[in-house]
Amino acid sequence: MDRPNVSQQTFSKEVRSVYGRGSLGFNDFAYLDFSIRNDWSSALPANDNSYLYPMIGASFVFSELLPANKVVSFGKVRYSYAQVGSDLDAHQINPIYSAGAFYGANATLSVPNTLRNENLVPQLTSTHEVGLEMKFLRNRIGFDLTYYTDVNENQILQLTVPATSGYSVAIINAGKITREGVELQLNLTPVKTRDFNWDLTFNWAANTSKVEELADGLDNRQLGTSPFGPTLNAKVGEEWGTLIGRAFRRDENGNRLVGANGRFLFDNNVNLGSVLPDYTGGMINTFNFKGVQLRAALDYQKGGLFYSTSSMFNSYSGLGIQTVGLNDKGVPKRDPVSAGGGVKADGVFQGGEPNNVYLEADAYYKSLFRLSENWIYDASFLKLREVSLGYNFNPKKLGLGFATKLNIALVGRNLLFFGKDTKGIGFDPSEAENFDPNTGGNSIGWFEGGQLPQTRAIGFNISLGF
Amino acid sequence: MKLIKYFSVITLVLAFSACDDFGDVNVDPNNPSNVSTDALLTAALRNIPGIISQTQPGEYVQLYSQKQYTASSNYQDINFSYDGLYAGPLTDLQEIIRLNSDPELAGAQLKNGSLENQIAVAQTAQSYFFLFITDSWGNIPYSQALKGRENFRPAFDDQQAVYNGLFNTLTEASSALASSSGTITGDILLDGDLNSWRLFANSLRMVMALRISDVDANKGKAEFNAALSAGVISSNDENIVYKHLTDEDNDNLWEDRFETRRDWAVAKPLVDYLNETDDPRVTVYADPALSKSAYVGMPYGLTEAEAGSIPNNDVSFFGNSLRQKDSPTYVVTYSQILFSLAEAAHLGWISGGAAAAEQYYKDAIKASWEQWGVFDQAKFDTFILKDAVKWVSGEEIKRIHQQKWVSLFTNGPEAWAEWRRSDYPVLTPSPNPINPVSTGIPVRYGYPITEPTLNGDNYNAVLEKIGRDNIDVRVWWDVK
Repeated sequence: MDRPNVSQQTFSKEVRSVYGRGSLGFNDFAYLDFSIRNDWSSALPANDNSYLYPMIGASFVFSELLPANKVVSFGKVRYSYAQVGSDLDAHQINPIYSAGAFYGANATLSVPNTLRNENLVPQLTSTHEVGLEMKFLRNRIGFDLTYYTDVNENQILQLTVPATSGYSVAIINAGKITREGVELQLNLTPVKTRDFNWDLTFNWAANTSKVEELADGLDNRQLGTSPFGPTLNAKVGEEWGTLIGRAFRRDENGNRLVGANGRFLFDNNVNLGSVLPDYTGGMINTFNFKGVQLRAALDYQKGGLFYSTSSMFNSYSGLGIQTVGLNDKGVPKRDPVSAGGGVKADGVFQGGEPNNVYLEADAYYKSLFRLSENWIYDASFLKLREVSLGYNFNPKKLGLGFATKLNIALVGRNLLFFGKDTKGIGFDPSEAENFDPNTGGNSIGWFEGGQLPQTRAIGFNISLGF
Repeated sequence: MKLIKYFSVITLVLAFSACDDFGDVNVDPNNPSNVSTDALLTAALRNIPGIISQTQPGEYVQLYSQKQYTASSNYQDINFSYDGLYAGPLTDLQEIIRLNSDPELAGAQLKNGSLENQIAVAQTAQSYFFLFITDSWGNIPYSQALKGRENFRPAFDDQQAVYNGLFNTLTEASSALASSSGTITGDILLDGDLNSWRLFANSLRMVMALRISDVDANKGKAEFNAALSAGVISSNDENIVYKHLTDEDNDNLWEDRFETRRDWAVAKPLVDYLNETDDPRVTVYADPALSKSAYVGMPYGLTEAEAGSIPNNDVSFFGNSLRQKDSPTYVVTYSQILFSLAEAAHLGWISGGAAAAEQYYKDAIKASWEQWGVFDQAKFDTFILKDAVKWVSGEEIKRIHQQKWVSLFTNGPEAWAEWRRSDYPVLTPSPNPINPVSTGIPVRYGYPITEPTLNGDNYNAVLEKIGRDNIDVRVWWDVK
């Protein structure tokens, strides 16, 4: 029997705050809100653990000043400036040692891979936001448009550093990260009668984020790694979200190159593109007809890349559909090359002549292992996330006098999916895994690490109100 | 006019003075804030078997051959990571040196041995790790490495500079150990025996001196003789051996490999040579093929389909006695030293000429047989006269390195390094290379794939020097 491994951890953190806020209103059409807050956090170094941050917001309901009309029913512009200070998790400041396995009676302690930082300062995000909200035709048409820009200074990051420094991660205050984005929401009621109502909500959002400065001497921040695949990076001066990994080597004409043995040539550490979508959004349609409600929710994304580990392993192991079938000679791929089978890599030799070497199917598909470029897909998709069909019953009529409301609905989730680039790989990019550390509000799925696919679910929903 | 309809402000509560004092709230209750250097030393030394027992170098030089997953034997991997060594044992050892060098902190560590002794031991162990790293990757971060926040982008030193640095460090450590007494704690490798550490340091220096024989013979000769006169391992009893325990955290890595699959067989070139010479070490290195009651090597460089078509019972797997939980890992051995002396005598670095070289050669083989517990005088007398073994004038280097290769069966990295330097035994590269290797067999590890993204400028600078970051780029001491 080996020594059992037992661990127990406790974390404690205290934040003390003082907060003040106020509002001014002027004739129901101009408003001014402001607040100020100071926090003291135990998680920050004792000599620099206090941070003060204000907010001010103004809004102006200009429709109040318009003459009465049937077109514009509501109009408001708003602006706010807010700062948010923050700290970090408990116990990340003072150097510690980490305990490892015993060797007999000898305890082991190691210098941890994460270099803590006794000189951290609070991080501060400053956001400007402007918005316009309008409603027309007695609220039948409405939109809410928001533009924001924020600057994140002294962000506390777990930065991946070269391990040759002695550490693989350093906790630092990063220089400066900026972000800007636009969000639009449309609310429409195309049909509104006594018995029938159709409501539509449409969302659209796009944002970018740029690393302006990191700590001294550092020009790249590795945001995450994927299983056997590319890394996700943010380079100083560039948008975050660059995939870096192994790519096909190509000639000047863009043809993939193969070696004399018929295998693809490749290069490491190539920029494989960005995981950032051009835009994302969703749409919800709701139809009401005499107590019957039909509701459908769609999600979509345009652009952005993701990496699929399963796809690679399905190919490597011969489980994927692409590993069976006929080759370009019309012979089963899995037959020996000597019998006309095998697969020819789609590329050219370094001299430019087309590849003519067939590899055994298993060798060909294994040769694509870790060739990240081959396993990166456009994540654009359109997805029917949920449809529900329900009816509001009158509980009294059903002899349920104790209830005031009864709704029974048939609900289907994950019903339809259209992926631009994901045919045959069986994966839904809307479920890709997020990169985790320090998302700074930018969370985006960028790889699939072998998780089980989400199932389609169809069921009943009964809600009873009292 | 009443413009302002409502107005409300909740004013700030004045900050009270004790707001920013949290006492010990942020002191991590889960991990110690202080360290005892003996625990750092134990942690660092536990990494030694991971270097020696790694499989890739022993595959390159065809000591091992896989039965299932042959991709690594067919040169699939180009980039290898040294990150765990820098962020692991090298940093732990650096911390020992730091704590013992700081007058304010050193006092607390005296219970673990004198400061000089602790530093010398840490330096010797660091040299061991650095030597493996530079022999495998070539130019490496060295003089600027391990500086934490002071330098997050360490530059790469030329291998020659690394070697010079290591020669100096080992010399310094050896003389510190020679002039001191006492013991140290936490030493799971040599049990606090500082004389053994001195022999370890000098023996490493001797191995390094011979390694540069083709590129800097004068320096090599001087270092070799200095190491020799400072005292090296002089019997199997003085071998540097890592003892494994039977628990899962501390057992032999080869035992772990066989827990879930039977993959590692003994490669055909080695088994054929052992069979041809009737070498009793085959009974230790290999298990008999079950279907044949004979020792059968696994052909090297097969595709996975080809390897899989050979029944498991038809080949010899890695020897059973070498893959017990507590099978020891040999770090530096007496036979290694004797082979080095044989070569040095042949090169004229030490006195005695051809006669001494031949005697050292025979003694080296004998020491290897004794190390593996198969020595028998009569058998040995026959063995040493076999055509493929006997000392032949004009073939000294070939003989020494063929037998050195055999003796280093469980130490792949050292076997790979010596093969690269000597080019013996003559090996046929894999017929199914997944990546083209212009040198036939890989002669270097590629840098970790993260270097270009995390340390780009320095990586580009080292690329300028070495041309390409690939497995067929020779390191400095490997001239052909």
